Amino acid sequence: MTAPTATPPASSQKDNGATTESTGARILRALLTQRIALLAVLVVVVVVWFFVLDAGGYLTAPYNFDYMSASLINAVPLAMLGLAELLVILSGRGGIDLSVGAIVSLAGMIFGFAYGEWGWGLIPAILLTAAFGALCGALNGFLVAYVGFPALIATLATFYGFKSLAIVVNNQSPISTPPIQNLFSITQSVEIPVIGANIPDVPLGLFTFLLPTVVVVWLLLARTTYGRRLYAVGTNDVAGRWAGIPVRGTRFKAYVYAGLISGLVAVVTVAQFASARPDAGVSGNGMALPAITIAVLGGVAITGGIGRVAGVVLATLLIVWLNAGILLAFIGNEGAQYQLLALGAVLIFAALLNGLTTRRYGGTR
Amino acid sequence: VRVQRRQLLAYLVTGLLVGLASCFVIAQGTSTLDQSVGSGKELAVIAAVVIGGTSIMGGRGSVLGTFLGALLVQSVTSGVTQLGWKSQLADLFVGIFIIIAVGTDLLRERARRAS
Repeated sequence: MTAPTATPPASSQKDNGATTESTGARILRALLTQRIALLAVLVVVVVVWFFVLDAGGYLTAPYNFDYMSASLINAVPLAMLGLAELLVILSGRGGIDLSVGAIVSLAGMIFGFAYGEWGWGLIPAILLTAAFGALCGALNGFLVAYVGFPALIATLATFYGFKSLAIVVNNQSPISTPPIQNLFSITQSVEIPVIGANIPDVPLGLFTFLLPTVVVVWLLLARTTYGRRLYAVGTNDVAGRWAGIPVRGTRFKAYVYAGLISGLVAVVTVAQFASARPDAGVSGNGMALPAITIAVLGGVAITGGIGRVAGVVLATLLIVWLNAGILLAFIGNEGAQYQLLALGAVLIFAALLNGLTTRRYGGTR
Repeated sequence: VRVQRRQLLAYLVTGLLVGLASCFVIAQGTSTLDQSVGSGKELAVIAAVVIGGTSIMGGRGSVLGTFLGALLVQSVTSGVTQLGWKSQLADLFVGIFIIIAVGTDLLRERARRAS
């Protein structure tokens, strides 16, 4: 009887405490508890820092708005796959997709066949690639949501499968027929009409692929029943089932959408390399682990149910502009080696901050 | 049980074993010592461990199982080339084996819970 009446005064007291804080403490609190604000500040800090270094003559090439804009082409695949991971990780129960890079490779080869060898039109070829990506995602989703595999294992297995098929399907060789080579034009920078003369040229892929994906995923999560259900299922599986949510179907669809996005990334990647490479998504560190890193840095809780589109986008901007700057800070190609170190450092920094925040303010939003 | 100390020790031993493994890789005498020689290994290793019956949720697994799992992964890889198939197909079979291994685990678990 006393418990319910005791709660409101406690919370209002906390509010009073917040308003009597000094302005500095309040700003600090806002920064620490709101991942979006923290990321925005970090992006500004990184950019200003490199501008200062540039002005001081420490960089090997000018770091200006033109360079920043051109480097955004690297943000396209990274942010899109980050959003794919957002959907999957949100779905909860250890949701994760290690196979996105392998899907990019395999779907890229499909795109190479359809557009480069079978002579399909661009739009049908893109649709086929996206549908194929969704099919790969559906396999993941089926294993995880309906059969009950742990997501880590299921997507690890499909990662191997897709990766191997992508290499075998065209005898290890890339497809780079003339239509594929001409596709490079969609990643080039263009001047935006009307206001284009005053701002730097922007890579075309940003408008044709990234922006639509961001808007659609945002609408899906924030404005549809499906979005509400996904957050509910990710937060608490059992509660979701008792609330009458089709838990399995909801989780299944998250993996299908992730596959679909990976299919679109495949088209971007093929265009970027001007060639459908069988190892496009898995060479080096692959694409899956950086995408997961971006999602986590963007404030997506690995336990599911928490995460926002804006966080993923800001995290991508932070990493892309940081990497672009690091590349200029060293002579030659040496900077590329330091990018991974920087990524790891930023991620640990973010995780530490999270821990601190949880202890002090009771969790980030 | 002092949980934190045990967990720290687990990661410590992992690092130790990785160091040992790297010595072996060097001793194997790949002509050039490439800095990127180890990247991409982590997933293959997880695959071997999982096939060996270790639960991904923790709390279950054995040294013998892991050893057999690693052996299976390696023999699948060399078996595919022995059969004259493309060596890249080996990864596909590793994936299928993971599905089978964990799938039987799931079935057993389900049967146990039903009884």
